[in-house]
Amino acid sequence: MAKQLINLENINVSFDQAGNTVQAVKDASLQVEQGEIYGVVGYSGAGKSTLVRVINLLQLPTSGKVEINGEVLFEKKDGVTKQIGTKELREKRRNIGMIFQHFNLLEEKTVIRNVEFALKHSKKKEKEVTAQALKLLKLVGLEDRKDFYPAQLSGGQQQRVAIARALANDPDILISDEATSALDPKSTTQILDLLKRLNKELGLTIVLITHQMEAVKQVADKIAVMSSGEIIERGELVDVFTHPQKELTKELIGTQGELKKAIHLLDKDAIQRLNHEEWELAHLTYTGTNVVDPIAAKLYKDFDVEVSIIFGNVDELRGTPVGTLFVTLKGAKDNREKAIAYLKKAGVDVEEYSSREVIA
Amino acid sequence: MSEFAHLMPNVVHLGWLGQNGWLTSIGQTLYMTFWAALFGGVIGLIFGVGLVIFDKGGIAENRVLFNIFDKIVSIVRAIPFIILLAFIAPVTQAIVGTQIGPTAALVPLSLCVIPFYARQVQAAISSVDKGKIEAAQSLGATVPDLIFDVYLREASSELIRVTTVTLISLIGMTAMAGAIGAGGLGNTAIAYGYNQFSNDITLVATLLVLILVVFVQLTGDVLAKATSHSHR
Repeated sequence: MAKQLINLENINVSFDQAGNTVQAVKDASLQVEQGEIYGVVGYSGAGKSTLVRVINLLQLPTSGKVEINGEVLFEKKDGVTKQIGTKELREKRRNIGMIFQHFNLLEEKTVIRNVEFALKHSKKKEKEVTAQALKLLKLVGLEDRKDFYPAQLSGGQQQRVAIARALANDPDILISDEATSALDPKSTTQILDLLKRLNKELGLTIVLITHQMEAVKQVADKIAVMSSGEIIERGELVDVFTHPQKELTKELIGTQGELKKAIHLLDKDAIQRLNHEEWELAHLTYTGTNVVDPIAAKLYKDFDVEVSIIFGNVDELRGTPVGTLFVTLKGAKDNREKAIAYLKKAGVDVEEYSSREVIA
Repeated sequence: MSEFAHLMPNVVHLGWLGQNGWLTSIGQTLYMTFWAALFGGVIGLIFGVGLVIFDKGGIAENRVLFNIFDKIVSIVRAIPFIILLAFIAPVTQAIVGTQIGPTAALVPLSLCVIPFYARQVQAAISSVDKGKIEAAQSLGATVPDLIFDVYLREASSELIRVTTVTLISLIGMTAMAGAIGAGGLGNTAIAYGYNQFSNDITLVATLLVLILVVFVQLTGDVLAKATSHSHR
């Protein structure tokens, strides 16, 4: 088992807003292991940003424990607060890089000065600082833009500068707070690829907050789903995507929408004429490419079940293809049961919706 | 030249040098503007920065210091300059040993610049995106780093703009100080122009003040533009 790098235990964060106490994070715990890319997803206002800001104590929790690399930065239990000193905290923060939705570069400094700013308190000599900054700009592919000002760069380029700056002190952890949300799709892919590369090549542990499911699909190993300040679901990316438990998770990853679409696409007239007992709607999910057998033919031949495909889709989760098929199965009830048992045995995940449910 | 002397006899009569000469009064106005801007500017800048960093949610939140700064600025700002001039006369006497002349005027002028500039600086550096502060904090920046590398540097163009506004307002105040014996172009316009029905003197003094103001404004605009790299 890899080393646990981030350990947030029972974190609560509340704010006073115009006399009211707003609880932004409720009893949330998050453990991230070294070398992982951990996605935290949820709608705006779910408390994602507040929770991850607790990692480098940009946000002080109301209670809970913050442990980074085995060292307790903050702990408040039963009214007793332990917190590391300001100076130590500054040093710890240099070990936790952070990038933001709006890049937050210093606009009055050139690209290389922005990176050098992060190294202001390093023990390095001026020449070494410049060399290190150049090395980082090379890493993100922007060494030829070193004397540009941020406003002269595109959003994607600015985010790459921000990444170079965040990595200046060789951190173990990188927090990405909606870093791709303000970018166009092409730049988003470039930034995500860069993050993936940094994760592989430098062993960088990344906590990725986003409301874009596409982003986590491409890079995350694990995800946590947040809603109203609570972590409501978590696990391996593929597991959560293929077997979402909570309604909100299904909504976020689009299963709900897909079901509605499937029902909408059904030929209602043709369906109405059929006996309710003789058909059902099924949502098939399969991972990998092992399910290439001609399912439809097989089910018809062996089980006398007619399969009509309403629509299908293949997604890629961190390189693993995940197929989704919405089909109607027509045939006697026994036969359909056998067919579904066969599918399940073949590694296909089947969710059934009875004809009555669908018509309603 | 004789034509000019014919048109504006009183202007020529005052001469260049001497106690009431034009160069003398221009020099006095510049003297008062420069030193009051320097003293008042430095202290005003410190107050302005203080108002931002000690404020609630600021990088060095401190309720007591914030309230002290805030109250001082509010109170001094509320006193009209011409009254302040008279009101602090004993203090002026104690500091510079006299109550009249350009040097004596520096005390009330500086005092008046402090709150004016402090509020302007406060507004200017408050406009720096909080995200930049947060990003710098995430890199382990210290409070001085945040003040100098983020607040003052990022707001530099805006600071130049508010400095221009303050300087122009200060030039106006030196003219007012002139009315109570501080010398300068304001004194010339009133004492030799207005009071002696020499309209030509008033006109020339006004034009000279105008030239000074326009020069400050144009220089400020050029500098502000040259310092900004945020929109290109």
